[in-house]
Amino acid sequence: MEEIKIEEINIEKPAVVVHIGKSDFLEKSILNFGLLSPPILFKNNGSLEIVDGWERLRIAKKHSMGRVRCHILKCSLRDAFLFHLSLNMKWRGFSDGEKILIFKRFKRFGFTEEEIVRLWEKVSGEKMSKNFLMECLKLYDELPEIIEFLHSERINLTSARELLKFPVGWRGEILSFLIRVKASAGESIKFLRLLEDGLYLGRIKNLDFLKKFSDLKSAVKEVFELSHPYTARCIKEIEKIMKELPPGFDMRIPEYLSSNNVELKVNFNILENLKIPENLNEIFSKIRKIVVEGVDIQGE
Amino acid sequence: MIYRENKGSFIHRVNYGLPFETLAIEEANGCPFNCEYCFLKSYFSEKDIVVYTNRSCLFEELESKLQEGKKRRFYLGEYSEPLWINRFNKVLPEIIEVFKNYPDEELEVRTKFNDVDFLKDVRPLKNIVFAWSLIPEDISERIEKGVPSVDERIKAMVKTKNMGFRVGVRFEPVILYNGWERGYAELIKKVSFALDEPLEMGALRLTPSLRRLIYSKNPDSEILKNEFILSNDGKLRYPRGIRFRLYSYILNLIPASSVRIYMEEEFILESLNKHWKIF
Repeated sequence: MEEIKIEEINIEKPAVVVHIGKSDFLEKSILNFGLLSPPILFKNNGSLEIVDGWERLRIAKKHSMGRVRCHILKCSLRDAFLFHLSLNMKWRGFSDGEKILIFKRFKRFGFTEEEIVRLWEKVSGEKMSKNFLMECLKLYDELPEIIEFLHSERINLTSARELLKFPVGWRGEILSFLIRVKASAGESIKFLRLLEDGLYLGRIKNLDFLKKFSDLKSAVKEVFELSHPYTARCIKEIEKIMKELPPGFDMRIPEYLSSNNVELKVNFNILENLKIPENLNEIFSKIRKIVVEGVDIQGE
Repeated sequence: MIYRENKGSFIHRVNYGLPFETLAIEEANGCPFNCEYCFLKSYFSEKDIVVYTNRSCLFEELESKLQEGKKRRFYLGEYSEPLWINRFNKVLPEIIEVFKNYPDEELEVRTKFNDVDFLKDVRPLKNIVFAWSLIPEDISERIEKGVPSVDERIKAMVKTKNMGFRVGVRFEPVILYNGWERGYAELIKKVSFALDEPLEMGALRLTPSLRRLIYSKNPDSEILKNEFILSNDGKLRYPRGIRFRLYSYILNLIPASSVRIYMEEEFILESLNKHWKIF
């Protein structure tokens, strides 16, 4: 253990540390009790680099603490990086945004993709495909702003990877839309898949129409109609028939009319003396015909 | 074209959803044609056509499968274009010869090629069927690049039939496009001579990765201009109602008892069977 002057440590742009954000709790603790756990450093090309304790040192520097007691390791840059990952994985874990920064750092240190996949599994216990790694690196290169959104969980990694299916020029705009409407992961994925369908179908040629939406539900409704015009026609036809039912009947239609056993759920409260129409069976068979056999495909 | 040994298996189980077991023989892989909907583009990483040189291993594996005597259908043409490959690697007549000793096992040679002259030297067998994949001429011209025209393929079918071979028609895939009704009606008229064999068909299906690949090559591809839904098996298919209507239209033009529909979801077959008794 050595006493080190804080100015001698590379805190501003540390070589191996991957850490986004700050902790108010840690700052209060250090101000009250000092540095309880000594940071770990290593020497790299004459500079003192941090292996562990970056946030503690950043707070110590902010409050002009002068000197701190540190452990100093003798190790290579690559080993220090792996040690940093192991320690932080154990104590705090990494957010999805930080994971992408880690993969980028691996690349910068000259690890091959196969090595990254193997080492990441070893360090984190998480299985990862090479394809997953490549997509993460692509996200970093093409949408750098996504790191912060991933870190703050405003989008999740699965939705973020879905963005890569779109033309490059669309990705930023879709991302900012998703952040603006604050969609959950499930909603985002559903929206992105519908949008993708509309793109391939040629019914969605640009994203201007998204500007008018401030919530995801109504945007999804429009994108569904654009990306599934035939199914939307079938559903409209079913809704028209359903109007023949008296008030009090609530019927749910499966979204794509495609599931194996398409089930029409009809709810009504018989205790409220609801009158069951005489032509109920006729209405059901009309709906069933559309669910099973669809509508005319002229013009599709 | 690359000639090399196949270090894996030559025969693979494939699921066409037919009422018998189906196996595909991989004598080569890759195809010289450029059909926009072809799954081979996303299936094989190599762009070149690979022809396997260790033929003795192929025949050994084939004999051993045939000896199991399970009355199965074997396919040639699942991974390659067997008639075209035969120009460079004359393995097809030998494979046919092997089936001579196994009359209960069937071989389907599926093709889009039209060079059948080599069959003059091959004895026709009852358990061999040459099946041509066809889509209507107008859409074929646009999306089946480099493939012999539908008329050329039909001429080859006539020639093959006249040589005494069984000849089959495969609408693979059935495609929805502007004018599909007229297209399929005309096509059915042209191939009526071959409808003594069951006609087999399956509506277009794509994997999501194949759809992305098609888009990356041609964003205006006619194939993509239809609505797809993701079915339970992870494939993109036309919506249920569209598939029902495509099959219904064709079933109204052909005796349903001689039609087989494959790679299709159970509920579509159930719905169709309520109207037609499909083979």
